[in-house]
Amino acid sequence: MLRSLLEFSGINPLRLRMSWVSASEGKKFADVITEITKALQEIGPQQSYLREAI
Amino acid sequence: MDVLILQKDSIKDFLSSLSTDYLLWAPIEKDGDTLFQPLLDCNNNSPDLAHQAIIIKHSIFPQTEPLYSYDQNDQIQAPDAQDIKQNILFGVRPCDARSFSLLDPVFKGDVPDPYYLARRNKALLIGMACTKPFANCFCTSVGGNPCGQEGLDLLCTDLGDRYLVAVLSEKGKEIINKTSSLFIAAPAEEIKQGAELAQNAERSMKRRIDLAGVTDTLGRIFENPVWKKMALKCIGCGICTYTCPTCYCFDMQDEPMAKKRGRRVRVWDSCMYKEYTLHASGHNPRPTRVERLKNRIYHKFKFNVDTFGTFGCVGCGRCITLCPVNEDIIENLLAVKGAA
Amino acid sequence: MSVQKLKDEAARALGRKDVKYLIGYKKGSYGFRVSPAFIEPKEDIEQLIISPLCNMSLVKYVMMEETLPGLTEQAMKPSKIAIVARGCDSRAINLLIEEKGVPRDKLYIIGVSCKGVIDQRKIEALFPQVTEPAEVTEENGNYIISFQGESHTVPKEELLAELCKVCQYPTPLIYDKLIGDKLPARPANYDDIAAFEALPVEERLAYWQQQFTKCVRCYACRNVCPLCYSTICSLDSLSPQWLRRSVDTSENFMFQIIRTFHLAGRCIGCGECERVCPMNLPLMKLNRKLEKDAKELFGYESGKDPKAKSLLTTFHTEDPQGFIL
Repeated sequence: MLRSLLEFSGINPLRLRMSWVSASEGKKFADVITEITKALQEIGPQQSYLREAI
Repeated sequence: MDVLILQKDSIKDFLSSLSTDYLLWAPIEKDGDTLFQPLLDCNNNSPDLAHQAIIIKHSIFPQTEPLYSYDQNDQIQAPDAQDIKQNILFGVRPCDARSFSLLDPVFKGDVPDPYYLARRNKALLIGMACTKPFANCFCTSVGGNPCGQEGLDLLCTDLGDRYLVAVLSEKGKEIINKTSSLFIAAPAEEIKQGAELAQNAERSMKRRIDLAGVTDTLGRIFENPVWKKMALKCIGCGICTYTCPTCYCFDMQDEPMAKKRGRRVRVWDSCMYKEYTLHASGHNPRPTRVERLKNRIYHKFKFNVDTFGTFGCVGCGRCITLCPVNEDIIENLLAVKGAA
Repeated sequence: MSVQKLKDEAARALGRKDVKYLIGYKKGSYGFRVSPAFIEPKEDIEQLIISPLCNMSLVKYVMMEETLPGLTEQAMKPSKIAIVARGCDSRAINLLIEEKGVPRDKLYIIGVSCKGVIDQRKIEALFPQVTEPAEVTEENGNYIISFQGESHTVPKEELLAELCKVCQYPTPLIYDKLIGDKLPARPANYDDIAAFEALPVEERLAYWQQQFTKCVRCYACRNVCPLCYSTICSLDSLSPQWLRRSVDTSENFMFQIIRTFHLAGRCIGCGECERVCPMNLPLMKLNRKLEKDAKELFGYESGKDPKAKSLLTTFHTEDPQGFIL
């Protein structure tokens, strides 16, 4: 539901990911992180609701 | 005092010619609400002078004000007063103009507040007289007037297709000199018309309350049960304090940012919030809404009188109109008088 | 629906030995306003009203009882609060009972069937600057509005609150006594939300950025919500500090999204948040979006039954899991 709400507000839902990974599932952890990183690189940095830079 | 005439059609030109040297603020209509905001495009946006702007004090006393920032080399940078542009607050109601005069002694006290004063000293107020007071206006009951001049540099009165413009200060005169081609001297009948409108406005104010003796009464009824009944419906939201032109309480917070940079900001706070008087020990001297509502009324109608000699209220009526649960300060003051 | 019947029932409620006080509606201090009334036994029942102007929810006050620190015998005695509740109010009460925010036996609920209430902004736009007390009754699809000796007839559609147009439960779902006829439940309607979802993402972003910039963080939305009753709100917390006190688009976005998400699967659609907002933010758009999701993803409607399990604290194997990597 949070993804859906963020999408409704104009944020790409791909920015919120969830997965169940145990400390002993090393390969799965690496795979999940690689996949997320790749997806984020494709959509680029977040441009909405940014904080004011000092 | 000079009294001039400005045609309504000339307002656009008047504001446009000032917009190069001044930052112009005006009540602007947005999606059905009237917000007091910088007027950026004078040609396409006109001020909304028919309604009461929701909040106006942020033009001089911003809701979020960076006090200083620090960088990764521990260098501290404070905003420079020079960077504040001269500002003109246009379409200010007499109650709101008066409110700045009530805020001044607070910020000019023992340690003058440079942030407030930087904007205040560079502000010029052009007023719009209230020839038709709003439903909950009660400025006449607290020492104000719907066509009052206090705190204004120019005061405009709507005569239909033109404005009567009273020049009230040197600053005001400078503005007229810069735009003199748009003004002519006001003929006697129009000055008279303005005076009549002012008299009618005062008479037409529907809500009134006689506040003589209320400060003394407050001094005697601190423990009175009248406060409990009054506070039952308050939800402690803070709308009254945020929209009140004379409320000024603030909090200061430090905000670390990434890469060892950060800043300290001043933000509006409200005495209606439970956290306002929450001590680090966990003790709260104003634990319930009863104490907090009581404090608000005391602050405006006793403490301000004791400290500065005037009520800390200009009778603009916003707290009444915008309170979601109909806490009505006039009703509350009547209850106070009744408890005397 | 008879005001007299309500007054009679209220008098009966206040006559009970176990009722401390009654929360109802009374005339406001000016114009079209209505005020909450806290009536103790032996106080005047005649001040009670019920009309299309009663456009605020009273359930909030159930959770706002305050006593000074320290136990007193009064605080320990189990005593009931009698409350006038409409359909949406009853759903809030159901949820509060289910979440154990308030025990059922603490309330004596006088249910009133509601055909919808008037939007304050709409009526004040139609009749601006009215100070004299006004009255409104409903007749044959019109509102009859009287003030200052004048009477005006306005079609109901022009003044009815938008949320009331999509109200599903006009008759309370929980009550000790019901005043008025039992009105049938109505189907859910989320067309407005679906229409917004269909807009391109840039438009949605621009819309919300503009709205969140207007927000002044007065916290009225949170304070008025009957379902926001934490003793310490996470949005006020300073350690840890989740939300900066700075009021800007970024922090406001966080505030509104977090608040909406804390109501996920809980919001019962009373619309108080949107009603009280001084800056007229469309807060119900966010809340109704999650209401729609709760219905479509989980088949769930909050506040229908005080014994129903809450949405986000229960897990079923059929729950959608497509988003998990």
